[in-house]
Amino acid sequence: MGHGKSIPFYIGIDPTADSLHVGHFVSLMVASIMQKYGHKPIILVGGGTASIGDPSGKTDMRKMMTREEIDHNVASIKKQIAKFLKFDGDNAAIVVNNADWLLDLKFIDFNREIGSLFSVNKMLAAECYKQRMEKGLTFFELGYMLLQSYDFLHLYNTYGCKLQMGGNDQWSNIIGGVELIRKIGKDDSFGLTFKLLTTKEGKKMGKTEKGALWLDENKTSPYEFYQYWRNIEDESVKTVLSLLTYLPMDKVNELSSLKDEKINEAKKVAAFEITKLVHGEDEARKAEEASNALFNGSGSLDNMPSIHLDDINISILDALIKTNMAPSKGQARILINQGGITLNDEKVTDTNLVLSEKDFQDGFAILKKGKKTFYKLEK
Amino acid sequence: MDNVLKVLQERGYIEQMTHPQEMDELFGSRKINSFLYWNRPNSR
Repeated sequence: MGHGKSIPFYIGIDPTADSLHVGHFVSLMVASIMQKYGHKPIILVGGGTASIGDPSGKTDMRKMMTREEIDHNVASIKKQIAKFLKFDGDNAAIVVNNADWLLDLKFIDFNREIGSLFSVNKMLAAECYKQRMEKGLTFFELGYMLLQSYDFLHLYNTYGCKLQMGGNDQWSNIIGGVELIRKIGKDDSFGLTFKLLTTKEGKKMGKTEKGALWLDENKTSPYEFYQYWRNIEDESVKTVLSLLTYLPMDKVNELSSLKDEKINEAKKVAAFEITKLVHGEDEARKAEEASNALFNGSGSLDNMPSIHLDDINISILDALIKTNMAPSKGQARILINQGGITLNDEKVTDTNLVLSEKDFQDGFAILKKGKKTFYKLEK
Repeated sequence: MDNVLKVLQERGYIEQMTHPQEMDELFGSRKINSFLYWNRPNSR
C-alpha cells in the first residue's frame, strides 16, 4: 500500500430499495479506487434522510418510507457494498446510518445552529430544486439539503471526514455541506461529483424492460446482467470499461478502439469483468458460457435463464407472460404477429399455439424474443 | 507514481470538484506504486 496520509471520505446511498442498482455502481467504483490508494471510505446509508426523500431532479414528492422498510433495506445493501470495499485493515471501510444522529435532532436547536447558516434565497436558486419550483416544494423537502449538509459536518467532527463525493445530481447538496463546515471555521472540507452513467442519448444507463438493473442476483440474474453489458451500444464501450472495470487504461483504450464486428470482443470483456465484480468469477463464467451457447453454438446452455413448467401443455401466450417476455396476452399476440418470437429456432406464427411433448425433445424448449432475449422452458 | 485524483480524472470519473489545488495536495500525497493491484491474474 502507499505512503502519505489516509483521508476519510464519504459517499451516501439512499436506501429506497433492498438492493443497489447500476446507478450506485460508479460511486462504489470510485470509493473502491480511493480505498486502494489508502484512503478510508465511509458509506453513509441514508436511513434518516430516506424518511424525507431527496427532491433533487424529482418532479414529485417521494412516498414516505417506514422505519421498518428502511432498516430492512439498509441491512440488505450493506452486504452488497462488501463486494466492492474491504472492511478490515488500516483503512477499513465503515457503514454508518444517518438515522443514528438525525432522528434525535431537536427542531429549535437544529434551526438555530444549522438553519441560521443557510440562505433560503441561495438554496432556491440551486439546480436541485429548480424542477420543483413550479409544482411546489414542501418545507419538509427543502430541509433535505440542510440534513445532508449536517451529515457531512457530523462525519467531519466524528471521523475527520474531509471529502463528500456523489453523482453529479448531488452537486448542490454537496456544496451545502462543504460551505457549512467552512462557515464554522474549518477550511479543509471538499466536494467532488462524478459522471452519471448515460447512454449516447443522455439517458441513464441501467434501465431494462423489467426496470432497473439490480446488483442483487435475485432481482436481476447474473445472465441478464451479463447480457445487458454484452449488448451495450458501441459508443458506450469505453465509458463502461473505464468506469466499471479495473482494467488499466491502456487496455481500455486498446479494446475500445476496435471497430465494426471486433468491438463485440470489447463488449464481451466488459460484460465478463463487470459481472465478475458484482457476482463473482464463477457466475460471470457461467453467464458467458450461456451467452456463447446461444449466440455462437458453443458453450453450455445449463446457465441460461430457465423456468420449470408444471404442465408442458402451456399456451405460447402464457409462456411469454410467464417468462416476462410480454406483460400481457395482448402484447404477446403483437410480438408473435410481428414475427418476433421463435420456439426452438422456428418462428411462431400461430397465436393459439399450445406447446406439447414434441417441443421438449431434449427435456427443454428454447423460447426466444428478438435476437437477444432467451428463456429455457424445462419440463 | 500516480495520485488517486489523477487516476480518477484519467478514467473519466470526475465531473466537478471544489478547491482542486487543495484537494490535489491533500489526496495526492497518498500514492501506490503501480497498477499491479488492479491487474489481477483473472483479468483478461
